[in-house]
Amino acid sequence: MRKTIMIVTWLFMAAASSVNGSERDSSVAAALKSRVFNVLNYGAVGDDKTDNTGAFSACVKALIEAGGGTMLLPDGVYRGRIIIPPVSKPLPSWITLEIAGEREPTPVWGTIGSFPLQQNGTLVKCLAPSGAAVISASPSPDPLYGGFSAVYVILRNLDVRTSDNPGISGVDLKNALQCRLENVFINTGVYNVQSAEPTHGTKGLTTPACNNAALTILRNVAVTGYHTGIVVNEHTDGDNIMLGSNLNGLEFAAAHHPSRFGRVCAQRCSHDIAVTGRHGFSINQLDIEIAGPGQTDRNNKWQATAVNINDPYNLGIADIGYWVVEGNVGAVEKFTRNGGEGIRARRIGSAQPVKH
Amino acid sequence: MEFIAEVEASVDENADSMCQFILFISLFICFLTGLISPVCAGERGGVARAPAESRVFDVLNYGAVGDDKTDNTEAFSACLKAVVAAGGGRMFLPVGVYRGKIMIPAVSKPMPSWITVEIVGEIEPAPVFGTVGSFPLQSNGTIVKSLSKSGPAVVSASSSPNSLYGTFSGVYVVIRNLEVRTDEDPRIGGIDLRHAMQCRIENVFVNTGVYNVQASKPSHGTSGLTTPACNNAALTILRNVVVTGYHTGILVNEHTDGDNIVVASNINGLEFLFAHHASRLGRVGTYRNTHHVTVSGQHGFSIEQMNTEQPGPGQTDTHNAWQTLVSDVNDPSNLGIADINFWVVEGNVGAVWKFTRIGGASIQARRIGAGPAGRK
Repeated sequence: MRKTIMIVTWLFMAAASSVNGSERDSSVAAALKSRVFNVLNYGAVGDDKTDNTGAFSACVKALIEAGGGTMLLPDGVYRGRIIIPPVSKPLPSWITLEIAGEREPTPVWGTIGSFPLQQNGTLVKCLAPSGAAVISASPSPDPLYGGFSAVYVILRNLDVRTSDNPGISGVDLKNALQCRLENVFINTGVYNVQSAEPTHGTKGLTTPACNNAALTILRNVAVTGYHTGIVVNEHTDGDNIMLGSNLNGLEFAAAHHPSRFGRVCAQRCSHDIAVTGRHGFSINQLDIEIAGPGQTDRNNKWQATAVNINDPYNLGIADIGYWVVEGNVGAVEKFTRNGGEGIRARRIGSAQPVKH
Repeated sequence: MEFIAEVEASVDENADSMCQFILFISLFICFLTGLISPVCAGERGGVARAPAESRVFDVLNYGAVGDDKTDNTEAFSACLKAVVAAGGGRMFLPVGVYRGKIMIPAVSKPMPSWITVEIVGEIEPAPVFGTVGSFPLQSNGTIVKSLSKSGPAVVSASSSPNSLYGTFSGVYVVIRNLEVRTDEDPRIGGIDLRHAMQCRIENVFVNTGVYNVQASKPSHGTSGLTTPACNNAALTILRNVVVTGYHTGILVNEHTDGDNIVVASNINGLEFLFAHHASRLGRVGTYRNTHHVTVSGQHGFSIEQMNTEQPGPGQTDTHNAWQTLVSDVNDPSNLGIADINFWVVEGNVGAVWKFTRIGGASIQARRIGAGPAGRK
């Protein structure tokens, strides 16, 4: 009788508690094994002091050994880096690695004024002057395909933070096979209007460069204060993308397959779009704000827009529907480009697409 | 984990250790108690261990009762106060019909910056709407209902007297999995976020408590949803939003990005107000509205697919004749600068080649599959 009670109790507990990372022999236990790995159980502390790189690695290791799952970061400011190790042979195929915060970040950005960024929500923060990005996927020496790590990386409800004029990048998934980002705010710890000129060539986000099983989905992603907001590799599908005060908002790298964006908002970028490799893409609505008269000072005059599209070698093959607002002025008809001969851009509501 | 192993061992050994058992039960109860709120607060996957300070605030813990009777306005306010005091978080409403209003207080100075306030129901609402027939609306899911005859909307953000910017409240409002309900011919709005800085609304059904085909003519000028009017840090994302039975379904302010929007049986389905920045909508279903799209201020916008249905022969009676189409686009002062791809269906008839506009000289509208867009 007591045994029965204990078993029932134990089952209830297993169901309710989602115990992590434990090896259990019972088949019932195996069936109930949770795929949620709470970083606090691996020694992480969200106190804006402790270096959690080791704790994160232990958590990711357990998750990979389990064949994938969710790495959960409860509210807190976590110093350190999340480095996804290469997932390779003898694993027969790729796995899902989800990194999720407890709730949505507060996207503090804009076109005027000065506001401190919040410390609320789940923040992963690294102030290192050099090295890997705050979150990165490592290349694989013994890969299933190419040099890619066999992971489908999902990031959700996260604030990823570096320092002003960052020496490191935010999220670098170029070596991952696939990714999906949702409700992610990548910043340099400072309100974008006040951010210093980024001089280190770092990127807010780099999407997977894989050309087999390529899958990149971006939803509700804001990037502020980097040299390049998002480096877009092939097969990228994005919507509700916000780029504030980057030298290059979106940079399209060489790709066989095209990319597609719904709404992209670029504000105070030197180049809203830069094309550095042959890439087909469409942007349904590229909404731009350029700094208006009196809206820059010595610290942020680099945020004055040089050109909306910078494609000097005419490598882009694209459709863009645009709308441009000048600060303190309102909607304007101007749209500037350097090169971009293969890009059909038309203002919303205008009669015909315009080639260069 | 150690713990489980210990229990398994005691089962295997069938050890006669009452003390151990009692200790186990006590620990277990402690464990469960700690777990109750995050488990109930249940985003799937939940938390394996309650974080030191959870940011999930269950309205039931603040005295709310989802019995379709109790006025929960004060309980909601107490819950929101705790959310704001914690610097943001999630207000969670388990399944139930909650009478009352959710009023997000002004978040302003000395708060240095804005915060995230999530208002989240337990499951997705059942969006009971259509173009024919008569069905009762369900009382399932999380429903916030106010039959009040005046005052603020059922869910609203208050303006700020001591604002961080403009008169806006320093909040990013996220509303998810919620049904918002007023009276028929409503005197109050459904969701009014004009004074919020930013918002995201997902899986939300705003209605007047009656199947839209049977809705009475809205005579009080109220709106189902008003998006934030802020022009700095503007961010409005709408996904899977249905609005039925209001004078205006959705009042669209600048920077609105929507997809899977349905506006049915409103006098104006979508109304575009003056905006510097453009708005973008993916698929919009507009059914039995008097005017599907109305433009009342200069606004650039694009609608990737506007799918409409208007009542066909015999599909209106004296009660709902107001749902007869007057125009697909109502822009008498030519303030819209827009691209629209449309598809029009007439009830009992099928797809038709009609598209009616009043003004709209700067709106490029083309039927899906047709040649280049043309102005009027």
